[in-house]
Amino acid sequence: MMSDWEIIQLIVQGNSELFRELVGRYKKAVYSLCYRMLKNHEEAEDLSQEAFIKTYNYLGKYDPSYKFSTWILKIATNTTIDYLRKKKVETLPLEEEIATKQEGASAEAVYFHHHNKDLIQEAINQLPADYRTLIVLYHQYGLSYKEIADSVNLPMTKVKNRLHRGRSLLKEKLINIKEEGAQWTAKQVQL
Amino acid sequence: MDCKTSSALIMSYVDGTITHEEWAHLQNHMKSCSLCQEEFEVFTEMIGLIEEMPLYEPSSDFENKIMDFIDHSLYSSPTKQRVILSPILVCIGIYTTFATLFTQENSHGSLGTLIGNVLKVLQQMNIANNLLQKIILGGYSVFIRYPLRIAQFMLELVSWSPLNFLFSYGFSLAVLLVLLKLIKGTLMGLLKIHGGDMRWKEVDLEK
Repeated sequence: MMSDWEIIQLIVQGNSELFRELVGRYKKAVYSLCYRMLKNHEEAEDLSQEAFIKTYNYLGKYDPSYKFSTWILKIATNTTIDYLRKKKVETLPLEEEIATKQEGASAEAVYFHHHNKDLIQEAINQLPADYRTLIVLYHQYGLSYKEIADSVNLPMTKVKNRLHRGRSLLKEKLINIKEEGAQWTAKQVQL
Repeated sequence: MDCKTSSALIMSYVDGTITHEEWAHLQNHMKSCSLCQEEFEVFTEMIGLIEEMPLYEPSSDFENKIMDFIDHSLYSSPTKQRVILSPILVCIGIYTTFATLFTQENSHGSLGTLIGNVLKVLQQMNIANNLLQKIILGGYSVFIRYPLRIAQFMLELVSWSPLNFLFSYGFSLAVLLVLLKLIKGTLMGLLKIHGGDMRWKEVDLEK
């Protein structure tokens, strides 16, 4: 099986059809990242396509001393962040709020009886986009602090602090959801 | 150790940057502090879950959409045309330069004779080349005839006088400059074929 770099060299020499192979390799990773950041399948599809097209156009500038996976994730992250900013979606909270759920059962309550896996995804979804991005890039995709700092154009110290803060927030949200789940269960039992 | 410190150490643990010593201290603290113990467990469980989060599959024709959208000619050197032509024009340029400089009615001894002979060969080649140009290049014949006519005109002017020599030399210089430009163009064309900027740099998306 050809390495990413071998494929890129061939594409850049004129064999554009080979880009299909690269897309196949990274479509899940890129799409999932966009989906986690946008929480919406349609937008995720659009943005991940845009990310791949940008990747194709920049192939001539790719530096093989960096991992291609990191490079393409960087493009995807930047594309999505730009889109969120344009949409004027608040990516960072002005003040850090803890999730306070409304009264009454919500759709989310359905999850609470299932696996913690669903809990974690719900909790992550509730995080502001900037925190969510860092957590997903670091813990799901395994990027290093330096790679993330490059991707989001922030100094490493800021990335580290924000990531730590994001984890704390996430933990609080998790506990909140669990507690609310317990309350909901209690109500059900009463009925 | 206080709980604030141990919280920070838990973060280090998750980052994988905790030292053996710090880890020992943290474990010690957690033995007697149930809050920190719980925090540690929640964090590690949380991170483990994130690592196991599923990846999603995009739509089934995802690749097709992208392949339809990209510019397939982006890396297939449209400058190939120019790259073939430029060397031909370069040869013509060389010819006219030599024609102006060295074709004199009064040859200068053996060197002049030698050059004159070389020139005759070139002229023969050029005739064949010209035919080829006419067939292949069509409109580009203008680029061949004009320099030749100018060169012939110059030849008529030239008798061995400094002024005329300077004149023809100046003209040759101009042709050489054009030549250099063509060569540069050829090289740039070749660079484009090989994927642009030869300095492989990481993309800077901060615009």
